[in-house]
Amino acid sequence: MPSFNRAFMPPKMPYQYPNTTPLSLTATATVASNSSAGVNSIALKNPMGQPMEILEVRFQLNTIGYPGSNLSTILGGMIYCKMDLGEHEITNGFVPTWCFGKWESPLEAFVAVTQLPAEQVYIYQTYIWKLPKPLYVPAGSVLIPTFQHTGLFQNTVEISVTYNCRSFPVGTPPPEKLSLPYVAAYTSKTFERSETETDESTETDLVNPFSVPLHIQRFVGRLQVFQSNVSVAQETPPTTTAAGSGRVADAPTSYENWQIKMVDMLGRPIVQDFTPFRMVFDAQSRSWEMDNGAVMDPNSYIIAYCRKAAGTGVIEGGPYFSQAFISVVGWRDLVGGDTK
Amino acid sequence: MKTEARNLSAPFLASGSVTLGPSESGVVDTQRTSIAFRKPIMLDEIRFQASIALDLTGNLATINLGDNVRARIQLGRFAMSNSFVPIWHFGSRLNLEHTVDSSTVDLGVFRTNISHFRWRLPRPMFIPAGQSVITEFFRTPLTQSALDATCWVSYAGRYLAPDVEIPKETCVPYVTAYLLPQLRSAITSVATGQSGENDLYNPFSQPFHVQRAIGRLLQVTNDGGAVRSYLENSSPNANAIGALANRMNIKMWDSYGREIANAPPLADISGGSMSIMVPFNDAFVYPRAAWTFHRTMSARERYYVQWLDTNPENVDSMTPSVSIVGWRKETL
Repeated sequence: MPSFNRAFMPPKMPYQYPNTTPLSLTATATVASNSSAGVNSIALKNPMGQPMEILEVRFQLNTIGYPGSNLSTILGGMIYCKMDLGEHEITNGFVPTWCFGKWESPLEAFVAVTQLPAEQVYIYQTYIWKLPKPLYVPAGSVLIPTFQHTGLFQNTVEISVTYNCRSFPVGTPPPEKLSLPYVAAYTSKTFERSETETDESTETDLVNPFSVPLHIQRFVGRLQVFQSNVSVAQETPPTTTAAGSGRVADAPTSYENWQIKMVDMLGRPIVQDFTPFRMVFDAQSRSWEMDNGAVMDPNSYIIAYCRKAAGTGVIEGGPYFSQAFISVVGWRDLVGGDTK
Repeated sequence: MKTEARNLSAPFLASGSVTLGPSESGVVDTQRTSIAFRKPIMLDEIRFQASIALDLTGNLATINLGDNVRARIQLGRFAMSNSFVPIWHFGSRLNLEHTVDSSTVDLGVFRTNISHFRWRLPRPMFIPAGQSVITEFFRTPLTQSALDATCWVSYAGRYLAPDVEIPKETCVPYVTAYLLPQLRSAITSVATGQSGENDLYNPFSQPFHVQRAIGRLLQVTNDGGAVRSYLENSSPNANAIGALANRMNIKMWDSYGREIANAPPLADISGGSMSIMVPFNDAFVYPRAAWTFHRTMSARERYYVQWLDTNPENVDSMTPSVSIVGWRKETL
């Protein structure tokens, strides 16, 4: 019979390695609109030829905005990433880069506007994913990222991916048990502002395809609001500015009119009733943090139901659309052999 | 995988809401917030959201509802707050709490103000099967607006297995707050105040484990005699560093007279000394609005807070409030 005390004790680190060396590895890729690209994987390999652990993954997305305006664009929902460590999938296909970690601060998205010689808008976005458990990478192996530009934004995006790691000394034995992170995501269809719409995820979106439980680190919930020409893509609608500037907010298109319900594969409620989006994915972190022992059962999935009410009135610069992104981030334990 | 081990610790979230006008109260529908299938859960987090659509043709432009909306939370016979506590007094601040959306309609301009607060419980709380946490909201009176606000509460946690051993005792979080009886008005001569014996008080006959103290400053801005906004004072105000930031000062001490927040005395011009109080935003540093300290209050012990406004004749009024957040053990 499971005991109460063990039920809520947080999981412990399986091992500790002394005498490690910090290591930061970075690779870049340039992705044109509606295409995909990889990185120079040599740059992400431990140059000392020793095993290492990855503690944190960072994505930096840089692009140039549309000239002649001070319009900003959020890229996290337009640039997707797929990660593999040898035969082990770290992501369920391509996952939006902003669906790995929680929202750290408003400085996640930074826009610099130069005025001379002509107005240029430089957009920088950084998304940080602190792994739920350090990821052991054997000597000679590489965690390979591949990026995809969905084509909703016509400009090319430069991507930097950085692994913050620690390198092990020569002769360090491999761990007996590995913890492999895993991210699965669902992207809803786009909803036009003036319409009442619903959507739901499929059995292959928020899925645990493994024969072991998936320990949940967090659910991430992001909302994107954009114009039809994607000259503006925001996450949270900005305050109204002067007419014609394009940065127009819309409360009915914003998160308040989005509602979410989630059930597991047996129909049992995870989010019990339709609930405002930001009550599920907390506004201050854009996520629902776990780290409390919550798991997804082996070979199971979660269905997310989205519902959006129609916006009212007329908005300058429309039509406007919105789209939801939900991911489950966690880890599975691998103890010798194949656990697939 | 054995059947009884499935869904051992699946996540769970339930929400409910009420719509309230000023000076109204309402209990969130417990059917929405009760746990389906009568399973026990561990509750980790309580979230609040309050939203109001302001007509911008009026004087009131922006309002952070963290003070205006108050909650009293109970689990059966276990109180989790000393009374109605402002919803921004449960958890510390992580990030932006208040956002303003605007929409343009043909007949006018409305601005929806949405305030979010999150309370990560100091210890997870065991909720027995069939029980539910009951939240009652109350809105204080508000000048310049009689509009309704929608108040949401969410309980986030995880299921436990139906056969889990029921613990003999559980950790019950608790919040006790010192609130002024009403908002301070602009240009007031009242420059100081002090909490009472029943404000920051451990009412239990057992120890109360303090996690943190939360301090909030509500700044009401006036424009030509009309209230324009109710927002939280932010010390990184480029126009007022050294002024607004240090305008409100506090001193804290406990039942035994031991000082908790105070500054060393300085000599005054007459050769004596005077006690200097701590600037509010130094004690409750703005990014967090909290001061985390771990201490156990004895049974019936209390803290006292004295505040001092050094510029009460300013057209913008400031109303301080302080809460103590912690937990105690209760027998089920």
